[in-house]
Amino acid sequence: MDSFAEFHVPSLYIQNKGEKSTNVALRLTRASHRYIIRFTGGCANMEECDAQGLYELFEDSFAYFSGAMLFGGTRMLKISNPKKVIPGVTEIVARLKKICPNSVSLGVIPRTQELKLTDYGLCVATEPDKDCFTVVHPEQDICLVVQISPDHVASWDAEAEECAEIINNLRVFAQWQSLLISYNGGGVTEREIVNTAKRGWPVLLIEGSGRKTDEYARNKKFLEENPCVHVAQKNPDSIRDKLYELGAIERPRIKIVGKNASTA
Amino acid sequence: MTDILDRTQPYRVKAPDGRVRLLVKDAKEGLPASFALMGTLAKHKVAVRLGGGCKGMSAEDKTQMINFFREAFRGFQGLIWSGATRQVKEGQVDPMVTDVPGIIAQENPGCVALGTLPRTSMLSLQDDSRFVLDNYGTVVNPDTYGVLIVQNGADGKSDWDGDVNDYFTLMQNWRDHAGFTALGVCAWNGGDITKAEIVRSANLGWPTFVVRGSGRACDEIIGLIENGKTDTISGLKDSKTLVIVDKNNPADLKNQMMMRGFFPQVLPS
Repeated sequence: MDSFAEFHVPSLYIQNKGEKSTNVALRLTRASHRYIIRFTGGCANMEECDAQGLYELFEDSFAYFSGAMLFGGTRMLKISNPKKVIPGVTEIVARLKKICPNSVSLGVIPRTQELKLTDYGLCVATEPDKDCFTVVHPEQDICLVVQISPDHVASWDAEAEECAEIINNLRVFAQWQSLLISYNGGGVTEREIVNTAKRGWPVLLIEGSGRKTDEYARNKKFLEENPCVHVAQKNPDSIRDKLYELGAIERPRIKIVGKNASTA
Repeated sequence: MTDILDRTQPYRVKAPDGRVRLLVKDAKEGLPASFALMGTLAKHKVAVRLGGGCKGMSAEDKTQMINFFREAFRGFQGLIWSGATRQVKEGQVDPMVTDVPGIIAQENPGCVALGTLPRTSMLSLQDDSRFVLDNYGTVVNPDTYGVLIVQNGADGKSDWDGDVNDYFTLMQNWRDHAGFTALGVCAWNGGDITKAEIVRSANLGWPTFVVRGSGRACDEIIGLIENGKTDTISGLKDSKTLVIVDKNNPADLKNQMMMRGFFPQVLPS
């Protein structure tokens, strides 16, 4: 078994409705900063222009983050060319993990179809009409698959619901802070933005990312009614300033030169 | 050393935020994530379970016991926990080992006091809605941040060791999943259950501190060790991590804990 340590192998947990994993909750607390960021937003339906520069945007904003990161836990691949990764929000966390080694990443995947082992990993969904299939992302610390029961699948909304449960436990019982970051996204993302705002938990909408996130970032009435919802522009300086303001990252005490020089 | 325990107010809640967080689980159920997370509130990821009792001890002995632990745990910023009950005698606190965690947490910022206890009898509300655990007036220790009550089904009753499996499992989970770096048991006095806890902890290879002069189970085990009869201690497979400390020397307990990583902010002397 020791040889596995040489590779990055996510721990895989499967949870039925109504159950709670104590081990998953505890593993998140290995992060050195008591702060959890949930990433939500677009994947398969994101326009190519909205995906432009997506990874660099977050990589340049997140240096020194040492909390926990919660995301969809999947990777989308082309059926016609399975070696091609389809850009999406679920790719961000694996990249951030490389520049934030003290963080912990957890992917939450609702089991919406039968699981299938393929040459490209554990397949959780297939969408032939979009020429894509979805596998468990190989680069994450922990992956939690949620289902109603072994014989009953869950809806895609189960991901956001489970994430809210995990965040609630950390906030209430371990005094963590949380932030939902939304980029692009459709109906499921919309419900998560609204439900998180209703709870009064901090939300950061990336304006200019497209679709539902933009719709809410430009909705003055919604922003006025929900002071916990913040808006950052689609550039690293704006996002990083918000991360400082919301306590996700400590302001550096030394002058940073290079990419983040303007924030020092 | 002043007596920090206000014995005249046995029911006054002194836990942080003025409330003790209570959770009830069945013995067969998994451990609740919410309770496990409370353990991670401690500044340092280290945990000490206090076991034992105070049978046969005079009031002076009990005061000395409290002060022994206060001195030994000065500066402790980890998790300390025990059986989480409080005994009340003639309207006043009758100090027990279970009063120690709350006191240590009050005196040492960063330290968190938790507890587990088995439901051995029907729970009841008495007088001014006081929450009572049994027919002897035992209450939940009101200085504890959170308490997990373990029951054997809604209708069943547990023995006094009904929570032991859960607390050992929880400590292992803190180490394996939350990155706790030191786990240990410290025993004072006690009976058969304490003896079993000492043996179980030692067999797991955890530092197991046994206080000489505290009475009953602890002194019995120490007597066997010192007379070369360790092999007669029932169930004991490994005695290497048993550490004997003296009740008149709290500095020794502190030093022994320090050497085993329970005070990560201080280098061992």
